[in-house]
Amino acid sequence: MPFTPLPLAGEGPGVKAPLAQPRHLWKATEVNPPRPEDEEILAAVRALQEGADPDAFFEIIFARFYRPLYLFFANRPALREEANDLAQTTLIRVYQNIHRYRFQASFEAFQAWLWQIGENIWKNAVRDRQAVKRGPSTETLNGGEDEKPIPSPLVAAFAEAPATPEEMVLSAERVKILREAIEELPPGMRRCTELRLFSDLDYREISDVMGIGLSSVKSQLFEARKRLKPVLAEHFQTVDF
Amino acid sequence: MGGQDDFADALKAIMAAKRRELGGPPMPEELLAYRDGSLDPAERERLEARIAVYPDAARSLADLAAFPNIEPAPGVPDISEEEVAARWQTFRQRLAELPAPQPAAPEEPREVPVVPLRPHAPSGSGKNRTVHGVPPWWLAAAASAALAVGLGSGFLAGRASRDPVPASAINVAIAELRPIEEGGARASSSAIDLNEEAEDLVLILGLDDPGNFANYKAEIVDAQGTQVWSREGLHPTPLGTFHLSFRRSALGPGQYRINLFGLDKTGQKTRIATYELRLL
Repeated sequence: MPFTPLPLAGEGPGVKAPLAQPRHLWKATEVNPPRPEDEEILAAVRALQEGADPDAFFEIIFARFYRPLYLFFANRPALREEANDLAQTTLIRVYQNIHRYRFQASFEAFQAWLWQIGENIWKNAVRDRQAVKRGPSTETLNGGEDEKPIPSPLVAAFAEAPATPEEMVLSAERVKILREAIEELPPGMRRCTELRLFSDLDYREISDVMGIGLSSVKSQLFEARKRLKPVLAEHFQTVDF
Repeated sequence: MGGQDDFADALKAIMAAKRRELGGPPMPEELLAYRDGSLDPAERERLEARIAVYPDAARSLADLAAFPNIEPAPGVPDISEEEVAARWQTFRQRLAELPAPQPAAPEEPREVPVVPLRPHAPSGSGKNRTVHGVPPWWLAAAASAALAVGLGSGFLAGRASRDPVPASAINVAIAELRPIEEGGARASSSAIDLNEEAEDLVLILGLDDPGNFANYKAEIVDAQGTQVWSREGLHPTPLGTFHLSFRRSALGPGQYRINLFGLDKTGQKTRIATYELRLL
């Protein structure tokens, strides 16, 4: 098994590298006193493994996991229309394979197993969709609304159809200045800033994606704003993120 | 000088340029590899750059980390409990059309893992815990399951199923650790051989008496004494144990020490147990 350097998972100054491995690798499943609803799921899993009536027991699993599964698929623009089917397919697979699940008295272990099935359904759905729509343009995770072509820098810069050649040059110049200003940020700060600016992620989401603490995200973005605003103030009326 | 629209347009222009330079959007496999830490630093750096300019890839990662606490993305309608209940009605019709899954066959004796860890026999305050409001049969189910995994097989340790498993199944290696100092005797390190199929590692920290603290903190220190992970806000299970789980890829082979602390209401830290772990 290859050795993977381990990042510090703490927050603040103790974090050595902002781009260290995502913190959620560590996902400590704090199986703090098991909640009754978690134990209910485990009891249902056990009962189903012993051949109990799915009407009586699978409903408990469905009621707990349908919404997060549905939202995961619905949140993907390319899969939005199929979200109900994909969530149900995931749960069908769970039902069909529940006897193969090696039961443990850990809700988190069952949830991880179920989610692994969901991830496989997601991978297959994206692959299938690519196969159907394969063409000269890349079929993407950014399907649906995000697939609208993003104009080239010049098109975007000239989107407002500036009236004069001087204004056109100024627009292109602004794009260049903004890009350079972002790229001059230190790597971790730059990634936080890009995720905020380009993907419009909130602090918690950036923290999850980058695997760094929430306070670290806040301080990185605070510092990025401090650095960017003076540089960009001359060129943009509002630099808001 | 431009306004807010100019700033947004400039951002779109930069994204478009970077997409052309960096290539298409990441595939789910790439995002999962990123999430699991299985990319080398150069691959990771390249993928991060692509993730940054493909919003759905970034949001997919955020959702993967958040599961099951996923919230609807902007513009995506949430689903109510009533709608879930309605969808169950159609789902159960689908279930009824499926052949009933066969009950699991009795397990064959499994290969003994590298280290048969001692069965956990909770005692003291841990043994007598109860959870108010929990129907006894739930607790009985949980307890019997724990016994099935632990005492029944004589060990709690790390071999996941050796049966052929579907691609969608997940294998979890489980190990129960005992404190290295117990009753004046020093226990040896627990060595865990993670088999090839294991995807997650669950550590169960056994403890005779976790005491009565507001919450607990665990930290993992590597052989060089560097803290590689820590987490506050832990609480013991009704059996008095603490569970930590990790992706297999997150912990490399080596020697680790796990320190467990109790925290009082002021945050004052008291070490209550230390465990040693050797991953092969």
